[in-house]
Amino acid sequence: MTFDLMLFSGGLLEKQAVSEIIKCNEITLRYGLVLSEQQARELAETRKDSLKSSGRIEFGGGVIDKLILEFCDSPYIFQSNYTEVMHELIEIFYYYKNETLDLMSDDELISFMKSCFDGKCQGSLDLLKMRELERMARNIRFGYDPGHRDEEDAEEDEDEQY
Amino acid sequence: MSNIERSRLINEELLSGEFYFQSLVEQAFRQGLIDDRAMEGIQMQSIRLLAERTERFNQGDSSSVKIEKAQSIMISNFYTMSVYLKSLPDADAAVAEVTSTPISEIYKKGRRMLDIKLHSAKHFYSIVCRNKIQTPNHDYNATIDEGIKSFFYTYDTDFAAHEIIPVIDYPLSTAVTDLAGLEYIQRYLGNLQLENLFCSRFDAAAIHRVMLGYDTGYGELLINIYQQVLSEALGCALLCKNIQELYISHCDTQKLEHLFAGKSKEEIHCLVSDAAFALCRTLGITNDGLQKYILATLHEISSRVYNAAGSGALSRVIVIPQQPDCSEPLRYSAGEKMDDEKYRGLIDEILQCRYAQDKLEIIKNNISSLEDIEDVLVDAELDETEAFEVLKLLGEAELSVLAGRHLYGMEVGAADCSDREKRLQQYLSGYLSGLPCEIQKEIKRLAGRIKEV
Repeated sequence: MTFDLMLFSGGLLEKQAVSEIIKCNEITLRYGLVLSEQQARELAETRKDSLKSSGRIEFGGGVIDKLILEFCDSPYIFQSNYTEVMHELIEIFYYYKNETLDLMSDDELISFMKSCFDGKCQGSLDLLKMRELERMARNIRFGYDPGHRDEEDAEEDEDEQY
Repeated sequence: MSNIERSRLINEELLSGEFYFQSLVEQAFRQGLIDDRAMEGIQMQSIRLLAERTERFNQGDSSSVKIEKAQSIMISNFYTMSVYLKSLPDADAAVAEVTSTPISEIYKKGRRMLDIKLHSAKHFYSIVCRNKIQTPNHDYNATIDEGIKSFFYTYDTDFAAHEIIPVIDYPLSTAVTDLAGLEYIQRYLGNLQLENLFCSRFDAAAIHRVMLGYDTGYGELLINIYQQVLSEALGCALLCKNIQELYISHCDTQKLEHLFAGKSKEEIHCLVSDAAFALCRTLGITNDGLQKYILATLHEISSRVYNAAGSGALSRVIVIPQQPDCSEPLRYSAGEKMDDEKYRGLIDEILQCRYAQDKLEIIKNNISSLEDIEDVLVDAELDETEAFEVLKLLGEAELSVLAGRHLYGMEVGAADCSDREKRLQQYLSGYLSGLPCEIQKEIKRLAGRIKEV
C-alpha cells in the first residue's frame, strides 16, 4: 500500500460529479438542454481522462457544472450538439489550465472561453482552441493580459474581417 | 512482555529520517500492527487532508492542481506529521498515535511543533552568526550570511515544509543526511555551531595561516575549515607542541611521517584519538556535544593521514601554515584614461589658473584615473608645492602604484631617464619622504604586492 497519488481513483468523487451534472439540468432545461445519466457519466469519464492526460488531479466534483452553467445560454449550443461540445470544452479547459501555468482561476478561464466561443469564434471549437486560447495562453505566459493583442494579432483580425 | 515484543516489531533503524511517517506506516503495516481497514482509513484521511490543503493552496481559485504540486503538498503534510510523531517516546508510541488519532489532528500538532522549531532555529541562527569564524572563505560566509538567512524568508511551512530552497554550499565535516526541511537546517546549524565553537579556541590569523598552507586560494574553495584546523591541532598535540599556535614546520612534518610510518589504520586512529583527548584537555573542551563531534571527525582524519603518510603527502593533511604575505598579490586597476581632446582642454584650463587652489579644484573635479594624475603632474607645469597637493589626493594604494612604477627598484634621476620621468620621480620622492615612517613602510610593502590589471 502506498501514498502514490497516481493510484488515487476517486470513485466516490465520480459519483459526486455525475450527480452535480444531473442537477444542472434544472437550469439548462430552460435553454432546451438536458443530459441523461449515461451522458453525465460519459462527461465525468472525459473529465477523468482529461485530468490524467494533462497531469492534473481534482479532489472535488470538478468544473463540469461550472462549464455547463456558463455555456448553456450560448446561441451555438443546441440539444443536438450539446454533449459533443461539452466533451470538447472539458478537454480544452484542463489543457489550458496547464498552458496558462495555473495563473488563471477556473472562473476566469471559463469566462474567457465563453466570451470567445460566442464572440470571435462564432461557435467554432477549433478556432477557440487553436487560435483564441492559444493567443491568450501566450499572453499569460509573457505577462500580458489575457486579451492583449499586439500588431500581428490586429492585422490577423483585419484580414478576417475581409 | 508483550510490550517488549511489540517494540521489537518496529525497527527504528529502518525508519527514514526524511520520510518518517511513510516509513513508519509501511513498516507497521508489514508487521501487522496496522490492518487493511486501518490502512485504508489512514489513506482516506491523508487524501482528505490533502484535498483541504490543496484548496487552501489554490485559495479557492482552482478545483484542480498539477499532480506534482499535489504530491509535493502531500509530502509536506507527511513531513509536518512526522515532526510531531518523532517527538513521541518511540516508534511504538508513534504507531499507536497514528492508529488512534485522526490524521488532521496529528497534522495540527505537527504544525504547531514546526512553528516552535522555526522560531527556535531563527534564534539559534543568530547565535551562529555571532560565533562565525573570521575567514575570507566565500562559501562559508555566503552560506551563513545569505543561504541560511534566506532560508528563513523562503521556508514554506504550509505547503513545502520538507523543502530547502536556498543553496547551502559550505560542506560540514559531518554532513547532515536523511533529514529535510527545517530539521535539516536545525542539524546543519547545530553542527556548524560546534565547528565554530572549536575554531573559536584559536586566533583567526592562525586559522588563516593554516588554510593558506592548505591552498593560497582557499577563499574560493569548497573546503571545511574546522577539519583542517582540527587536523593541524592534532598534529601539534602529537608532537606536544603549543596547540593554539597551530604551527607545524617542515621538520615537524618529517617527525610526524616518522611517527606514522609502517602503522596500520587502526594504530594511526589510536594515536589520533589519544591526541584528541589531550587536545580537549588542553583547550578545556568540556562541551559533551563538541567532544562527540570531534570524535566523530577522527575516523576521516585518521583515514586521510593513513593514505597520505603512505604516499609521502602528509603535508597535504597536516599542512605547513603560510604567512599571508606570501599569498596572492593585491590587484589594482588604474581606471580609464581621459579622452585626449578633453585632457588637452583641461590642461589649458589649469595653465590659465593663477591660484593653486583653483588648479587643485579643477584636477579634483575632473580627473579620476591614476594615469591622468601622472600626466597632469608634469603637463600642468605645477611647482613642487602644487604637485604635493595633488599627491595628497591619492591613497596609499595609488601612491604605492606610482612609487612602484617610478621609484622602487630604479635609480632616481638616472641619466637615461627623460625629463618628464625625472620630474615625476622628484615630486614623488619629495612627497613620500615627508610622510610618517610607518606610512612610507606600508607604501613600500604594498608596492611589492600590487599587481596592476
